[in-house]
Amino acid sequence: MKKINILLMFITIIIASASLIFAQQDYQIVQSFKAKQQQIHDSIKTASSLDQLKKIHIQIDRFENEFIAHKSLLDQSLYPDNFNTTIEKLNNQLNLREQDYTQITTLQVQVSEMKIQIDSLNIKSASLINQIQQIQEESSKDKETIAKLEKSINELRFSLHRRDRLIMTMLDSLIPPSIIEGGKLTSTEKSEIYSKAKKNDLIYNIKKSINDNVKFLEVTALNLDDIKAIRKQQKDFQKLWQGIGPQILDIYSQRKQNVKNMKDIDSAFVAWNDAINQEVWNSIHKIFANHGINLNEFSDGEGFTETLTTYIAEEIKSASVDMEASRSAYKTFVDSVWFVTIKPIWIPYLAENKMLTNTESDTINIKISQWQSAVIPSPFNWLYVVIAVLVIFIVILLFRFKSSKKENTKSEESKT
Amino acid sequence: MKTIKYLAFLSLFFLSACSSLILKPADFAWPVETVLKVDSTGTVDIPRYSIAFNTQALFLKETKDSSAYKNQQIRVIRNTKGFYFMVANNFKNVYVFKVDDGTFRLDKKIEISDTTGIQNPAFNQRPPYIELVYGNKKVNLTEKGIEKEEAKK
Repeated sequence: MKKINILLMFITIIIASASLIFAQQDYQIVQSFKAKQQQIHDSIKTASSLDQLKKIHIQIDRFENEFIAHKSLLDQSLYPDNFNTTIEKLNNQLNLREQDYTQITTLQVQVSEMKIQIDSLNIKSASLINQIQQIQEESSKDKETIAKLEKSINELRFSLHRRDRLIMTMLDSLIPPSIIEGGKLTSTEKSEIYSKAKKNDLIYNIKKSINDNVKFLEVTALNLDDIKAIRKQQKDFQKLWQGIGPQILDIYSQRKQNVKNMKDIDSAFVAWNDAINQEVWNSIHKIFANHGINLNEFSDGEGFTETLTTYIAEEIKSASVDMEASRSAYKTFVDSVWFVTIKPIWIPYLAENKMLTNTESDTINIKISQWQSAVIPSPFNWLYVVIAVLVIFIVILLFRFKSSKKENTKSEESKT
Repeated sequence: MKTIKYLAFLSLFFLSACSSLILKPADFAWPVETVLKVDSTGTVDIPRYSIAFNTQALFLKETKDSSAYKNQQIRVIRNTKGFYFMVANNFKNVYVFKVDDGTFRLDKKIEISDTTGIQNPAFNQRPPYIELVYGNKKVNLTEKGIEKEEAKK
C-alpha cells in the first residue's frame, strides 16, 4: 500500500512537471538563455587549454540551436543586445582566448627551443674556456697561436652573450609583467611557473651562465668597449633577476624546494660585478705594462692611487741620481699612457662606476705635476722680462714728465 | 455678411487649435515581463524602463494585510496599449493600471480565481493579449478583462 502511494505521488509530480513545461514562460526562456550565456562566458574565461576552448565552440553551436526558436523574443528582451550579437560576442570572446592560447603555446615551443640552444651553448662555452686556458698555458706564443686564441675568445664572448640573452628571455617569459609590477600570482600560475622553471633547469642555467661569465673575465683581457658591454649585460641580467627572483624564490619555498641555489644567484651576481671591476684594473695594469711601466697589482681605487703615487715618488727620488732616465720614464708615462689612454678614457669610466674618487684622481694628478717639476725645469719666460721693461720705461717717462713740468713753472715765476 | 465670414474664420481657427495631436500607431508592449523583488519599503524599481513605484497599497488591496508585501516578488508587463498588468504569487486577481499624473491608477481588477490564490503566475506578451500562465492554465488578458480561457489541462 505504501509503495502504491509513493508511485502515485511520483506520477503526480511527473504530470505536474510536464504541464509546467507546456506552460512555458517567456521570462524563464530569457532567464535560461542569460544563465547559459553566462555559463559559456565563464567556461571561456576559466578554460585552461586550447582543447577545452575547442569544445566550447560546440557548446556555443548547441546554445544557438537551442534558442533559435525564441530569437524574436530574445531580440526584444536582451536589451541592449539581441540574439545574434550575444552569440557573436561569445564567439569573439572565444576567438580572442584561443589567440591568447595559441601565443602561449608558441611561447612554450620557443622556450623549449631556447632550452636546447642553451644546453648546446653550455657545452660550447665549457669547451672554449678549456681551449683558451690550454692555449694560454702553451709556452710558444707564435702569431698563429695568438690568432687562434683571439678567435676562441671572440667565439666564447659571442656564445656567452647569446646564452645570457636566451636565459634572460626565458626568465622574462616566466612571469607576466603585471606580476612584476606588483600583482599577485594565482596558485595555478605558480604551479605553471614552477613546472616551467624545473623543466628548463632555469636556476642551474642562471648560475652556470654567471659563473662562465666570471671565468671568461678571468681568462681574458678586454678593452673598454668590451667591458662596457659586459657590464651592461650584467646590470640588465641582475635587474631582471631582482624583479623576478623573489617571485620564483617564493614559489620554490612554498614547495619546500632547496632555495640555497637561488640565494647563491644573488652572491653570484656580486661576484660577477667584482670580476668585471677586477677586469678593469687588470686592463689598466696591462696598458702600463705594455709600455714597460711595471706597477704593483691593484684591485681598487685606493690601491691604484697608492701604486701610482709610490711609483712616481720612486721616480722623483731617482731623478737626483739619473735625471735622464727619470725624464725618459716621465715622458713614456705621460705622453704614451697617462694623457693618451688612462686620463681621457679610463679615468672617466672609473669615476662613472664609482671605482675612483675625485680626491684619488686629484692626488695622482698632483703627483704627476711634482714629477714634472722635478724632471723638467720650467722654461725661462721672456714675457715677464718684457712686461718688467715696459713698467720701468713707463715709470721713467712719468718721472721725467713731472720734473719738466716743475721746471717750467719755476721759470714762469722767475719771469714774473 | 462680413461679420459672419469673420466669425466663421475665427471658429475654424479655435476648433483647429483645440484638436489634440495624435501619433499613431504606437506600441507600448514590453517584450517580456519583469519580475521584481519588493524591498523593505514596499518599493520596486525597473531600471531598464526607469520606473519605480510603491506596491504596499496593491498588496493591501489583494490580501487586506498591510505587511503582505514583505519578501514578495511582483511581476509586471505592459501591453501594446500601454496598460500595466501586475500580479504576484497567491493573488486571486490581476491588476491593470494606467499612468495618471505621476501615479499608477487602477483601471481594472481582473478576477482569475474566486477561491484560492493562483500559484506561480507569469505573464507572456502575446499581442494583442497578455497571456497569464499559472499552474497548468493559461488565459489571455486585455485591459478590459479575460479574453478567452484556454483548455484546462
